[in-house]
Amino acid sequence: MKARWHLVLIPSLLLSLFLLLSSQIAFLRGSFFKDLRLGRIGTELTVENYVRFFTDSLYLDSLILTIRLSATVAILTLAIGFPVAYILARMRSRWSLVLLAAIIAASFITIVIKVLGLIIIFSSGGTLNRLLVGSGLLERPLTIMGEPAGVVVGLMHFTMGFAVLLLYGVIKTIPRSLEEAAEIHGAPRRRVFLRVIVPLSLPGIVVTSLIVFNLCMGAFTSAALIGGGKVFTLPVLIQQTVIMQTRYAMGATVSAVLMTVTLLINALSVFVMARFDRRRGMVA
Amino acid sequence: MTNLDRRQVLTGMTATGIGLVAAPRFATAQQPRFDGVTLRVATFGGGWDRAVHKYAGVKLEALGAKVEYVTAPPRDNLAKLIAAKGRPAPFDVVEMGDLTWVDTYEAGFLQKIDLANVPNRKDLLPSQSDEWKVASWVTQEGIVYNAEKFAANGIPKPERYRDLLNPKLAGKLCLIDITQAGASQLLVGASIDEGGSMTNIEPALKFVKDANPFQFWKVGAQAVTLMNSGDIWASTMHAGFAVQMRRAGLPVAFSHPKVGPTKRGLLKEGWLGVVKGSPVPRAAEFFINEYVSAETQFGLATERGVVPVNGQARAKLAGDPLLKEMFLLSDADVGNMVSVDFNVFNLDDATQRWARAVSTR
Amino acid sequence: MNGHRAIANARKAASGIWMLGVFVFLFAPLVVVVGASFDGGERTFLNFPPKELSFRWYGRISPDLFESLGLSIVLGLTTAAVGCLVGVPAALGLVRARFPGKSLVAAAFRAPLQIPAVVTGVSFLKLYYLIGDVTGIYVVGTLPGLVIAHSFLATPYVIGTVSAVLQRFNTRLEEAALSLGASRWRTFRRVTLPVIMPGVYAGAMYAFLVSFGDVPVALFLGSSGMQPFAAKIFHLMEFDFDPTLLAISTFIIFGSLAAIYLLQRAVGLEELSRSGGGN
Repeated sequence: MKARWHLVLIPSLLLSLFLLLSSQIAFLRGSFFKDLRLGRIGTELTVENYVRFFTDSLYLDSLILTIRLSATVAILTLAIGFPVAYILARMRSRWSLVLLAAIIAASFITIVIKVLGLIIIFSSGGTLNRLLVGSGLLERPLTIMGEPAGVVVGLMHFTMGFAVLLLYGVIKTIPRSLEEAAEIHGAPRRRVFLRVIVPLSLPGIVVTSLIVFNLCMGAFTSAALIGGGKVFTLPVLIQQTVIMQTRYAMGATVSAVLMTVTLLINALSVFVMARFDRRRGMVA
Repeated sequence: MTNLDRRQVLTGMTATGIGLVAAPRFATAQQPRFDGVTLRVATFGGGWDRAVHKYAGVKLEALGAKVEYVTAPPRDNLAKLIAAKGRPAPFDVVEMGDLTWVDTYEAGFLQKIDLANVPNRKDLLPSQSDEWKVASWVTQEGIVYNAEKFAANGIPKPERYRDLLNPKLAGKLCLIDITQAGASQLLVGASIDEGGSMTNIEPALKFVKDANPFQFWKVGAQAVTLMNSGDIWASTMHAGFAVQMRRAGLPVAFSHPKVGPTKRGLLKEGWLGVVKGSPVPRAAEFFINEYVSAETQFGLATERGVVPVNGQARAKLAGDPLLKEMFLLSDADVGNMVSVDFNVFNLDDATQRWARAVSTR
Repeated sequence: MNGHRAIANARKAASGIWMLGVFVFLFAPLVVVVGASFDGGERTFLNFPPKELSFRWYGRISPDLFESLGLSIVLGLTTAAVGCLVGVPAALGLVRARFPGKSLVAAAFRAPLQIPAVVTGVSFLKLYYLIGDVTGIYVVGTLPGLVIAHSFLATPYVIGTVSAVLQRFNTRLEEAALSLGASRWRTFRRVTLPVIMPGVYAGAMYAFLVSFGDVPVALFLGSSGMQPFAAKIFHLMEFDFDPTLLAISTFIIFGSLAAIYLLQRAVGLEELSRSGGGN
């Protein structure tokens, strides 16, 4: 009587694998041949593109920058989004859903539109900077466009909706009674939050930060439009290598490295999480 | 596939038709018909396609053809040609920047144009058409600056690129991004002016680094918005932007930078080519001829802020005081501008060195 | 007692300030865009706050912007449908079947998320030509071509949301239905499907939004009549700045808010969010 669920999976798997492998093999295969520009590649197998990637500071710096930016966005999005998700999840009014909906909607409006607004907001003569400088909070106007900080802000606009929605779902599954019990025993709310809520939602936090991190590793539009031509993340570099320089083999190499590194970081976090879980299990 | 087959059959039919009427080419009564022909034109989006259609496309459609536009930046259209290599042409006419022209030609994606079908080339400079390409527009690259801010802060009018290194302009300057057509002109202009050349662009890279601009603009709207908000007082861009901004009420002026001892200003050209294997070359040539006509060129200039390649259209523009102020229009002035020779200048190499010079660590 | 209330009030205030901050952060650029769209001047740039109020730009939105907006909506809905058709069975298999190498299969399903979109665009363009060489059917520049590539991008989201619901699903309900003699298909339709529906809706919403916001893939796979909205405005910004862009963006902003609101009325975001718990 047992359903053969793996049979259900097969058509989807075949289709997805076909699209994934055929498109990626056609492209990534080039990374093992000499780059002759204009989409042309040599005939002999070689790893010189990979050697070049790992010996050239341009690519290595870009890899490090991409990881750093993505990690920063993941941490900031989590740090800001978690309390938001928590407040919304514990709100007793219908407004919580309206607010949640608004956050998601705002998050998904394409950055192409938002970037114009961001330029105005952070312009040195703009209201924000006049307030900041006028009130003496800052000495010089805050300019983040064309800086990594601006790219971080742009990416956070994009990831916040995902994060809040995912975390909201996680926190909702934690019974409110747990907090109330702890509070009755005299624990202050902050302690309850840090000792009960955060540990219980840790798996959700890890999953959410990985999703945010992965999204940022592949994001092109924010870095290209807000980076002001100075923030060369790997996707920006890939676009430039393939489209401007028509170096498809080198572009394929950069993108193979980007994918591998992202997968490794994911695998590593899952592994560390599993170890951590086991240790906690033993202590308890 | 059926689509293509039909197109090929129709082309065959049209070609026969043209063969019959080709001899008395200038007899307008005997204009060729293009019934059933579809011409696919790869060009810029963002309204440029509409403007081109309004002046040139409609002429072809009046003769029975249908004109479709494939809009993307020229580099993306080149990527489409690369992907389609060895297969039916994805479009018939392709509009390219000067750099993209070199790559498209070198990769063997173009076919020869029968210049006899492009009589309007008589109004173009000799260098602006040959059997592989016909120039479609010119932009004049240089420096747009906010004249009021310059005056108020005692900054002299920029005569050369190096004048932008004035400490009073620190943080108030935008430069064009390397991914944008026009960056090559900046690199070559700044290099030659500082003792370098089209092959030695180190001086220009040093200039770019020293200038340490507020941003490298990728999207025109970005630089224009920053100019309006007062974040920047000057930017390297083409004179068409200065026209736009002035018409919108900004107190901007334009400087055609001096390059070396005698030259002044920098030219950037757009080119039209016919894609190899196009089933409708005759329609493509008709379209190209209409594209460079005095009427189309004048229309594009007034609507979109480019400088016409057609001498008649250029002469007509001199009647507009604003355009006369911003553009160099006389044949003598245009002849004294610097063009980038993309067979000599290596943008591929420049792009990599640029990234090294400017990327944030 | 008073002390307690004071603490509770302080807590409320702190929560309120935090929420306000986040909303200002997220909405400020949108407010600027909407505000600037009402600026009446003949401008080629953004003016905020608007100097003179006017609706003139709304009247000048070119019809082909609406056309590409329509295309994007059709494309997004089709992508959502295809994403669900592929993603729901995949999620069922991933959660319920036990087979060796399952985590590898799960990783394969997630892989499209890790490919930079520019690469997806170029590699699908190449793939479509290869397929065309074999089959004679070229989908470059057609709606099906865009749908396939967007579904590729969007399916992992559907798998994620549906899996999350399935993991909490009590299989005893199904067993009961089966033991009462219901056919397997009937059981799926009447018991399983209604329960996982929130996950399907959430996945479909993500899929739509992924498709609607995409620029890099559409740049390569679009064509003259097939240019999705986001790619279109990206082009518009590349040349000169057209204030009608702000006007139509305003439509998009309010349209998105309305769509999410309607979705919430119809399905309940409470349900949607429950499906997002993990993967």
